[in-house]
Amino acid sequence: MTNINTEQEIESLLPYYVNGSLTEDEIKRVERTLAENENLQQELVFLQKLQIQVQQQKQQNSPGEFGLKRLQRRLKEQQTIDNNSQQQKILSSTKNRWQFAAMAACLMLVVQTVNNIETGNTYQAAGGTAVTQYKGKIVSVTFSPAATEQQIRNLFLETNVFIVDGPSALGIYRLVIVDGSDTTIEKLASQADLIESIQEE
Amino acid sequence: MSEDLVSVELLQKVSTGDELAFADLYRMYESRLYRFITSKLNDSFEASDILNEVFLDVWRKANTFEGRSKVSTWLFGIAYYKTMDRLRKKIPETVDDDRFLEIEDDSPNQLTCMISNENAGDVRFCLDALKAAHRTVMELTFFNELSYREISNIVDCPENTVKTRMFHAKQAMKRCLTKRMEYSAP
Repeated sequence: MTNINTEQEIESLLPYYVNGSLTEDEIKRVERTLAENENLQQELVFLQKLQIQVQQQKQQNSPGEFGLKRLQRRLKEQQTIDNNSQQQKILSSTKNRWQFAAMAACLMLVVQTVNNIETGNTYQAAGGTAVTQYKGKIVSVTFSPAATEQQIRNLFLETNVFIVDGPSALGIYRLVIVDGSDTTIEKLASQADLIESIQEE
Repeated sequence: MSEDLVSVELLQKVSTGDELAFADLYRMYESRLYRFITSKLNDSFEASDILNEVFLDVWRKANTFEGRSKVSTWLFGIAYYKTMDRLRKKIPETVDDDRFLEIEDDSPNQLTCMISNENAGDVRFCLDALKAAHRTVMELTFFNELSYREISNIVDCPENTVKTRMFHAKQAMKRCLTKRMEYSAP
C-alpha cells in the first residue's frame, strides 16, 4: 500500500515521467511506486494518451518564412536607425569640438588683447569699441564751437594726428601726435579759429 | 549534435551579428514558440507580433545568454514574459488563478477511452477551455517536453507551483472530458 503523500508526490511527477524529463533518481522512485499502485498505472496511461493528443493538435499556421522576412526587414530598419543615430552622434561631437575650439580661440584673443594694453601708451579709440595701440605724444584739445567737421578732418590729415579718446562731457579730445614733434603741437596751437585750447600730457 | 548544442552554437554566431545563423535559429524554434504564445493568447496576429518581438530580443541580447539554462528555456522565457506583458496590458486584472477545482473523481480508465483520435475535437475543446496558466504548463510539458525545472524558469515560479498547475490542468481536462462524454452519450 502506497503512502498518500508518496502517491501525491509521484502523481505530480508522472507528467514529467511521461515526457521523459525526469532525472534517473526520480525515474527510479516513480517506477518503484508505479509497480505497486494500480491507480497511478491508470493515471499513467491517461497521461500518455493525453500527451499524444496534445502533440497531434493542429495549431494555427505559424508565420514561417513570411515572419522571417518581416523580422529581417525590421532588423534592417533598426540597423539604419542605429547607423543614423551613430552618425548624428559623430556629427554632434564634431560640432561640439568646433564650438569648443571657437570658444577657446575667442578666449585667447581676449587674453592676448588684454596683455597687449600698455599703460600710458595704449589708448582706446574714440569709438570706444576697439583698443588700439599708438606711440607718440598725447595732447588734450578742445575745439571751437564754430569748427566744422571737415576743417577738423583736414587739420588731422595735415598734421598726422589721431583721436584716441573723447569727446568727454566737457568736449575734450585726446589726440596722439604720431611723430611726437613740438612743431606739430605748435601748428595745432596756431589754429586758433579751430582749436580753443591745447595741453600736452 | 544535439539540438541544444546546435542552438548554443547558433546563438553564439547570432551574438556576432551572423544573420544566417539567426535565420536558422528562427526556423528551429519559430513554430514551437508560436504555438506556445497562441496557447496563452488566442490571437494569431498578436501572437505573430510577439514572436517577432521575441526574435528581435534574441538578436539584440544574444550576447547576454550565459548558458545557465538551455537555449530553448531562455527563448520560451522571453516569449512567456512578452506574452504575459501583452496580456496584462489587455486585461489589467490577474489572468492566472491557481484555485483548486473540485471535481468528481472520474475513473481514469473511462477517461482514457475518451482520449482517442476519434475524440480529438473534444480534447481540443477541453484544452482551449483551460485557464491560460494551466494550458501553458500543459503545452510546455506535453508538446515541448520540458522538465518541471525548466518550466519553472520559463514561467518564473517555484517548481512546486508548476507541478500544482499541471495537476489542476489535468483535473480540469478530466472534468471537461467527462462532461463532453455525458453530452454525447445516447
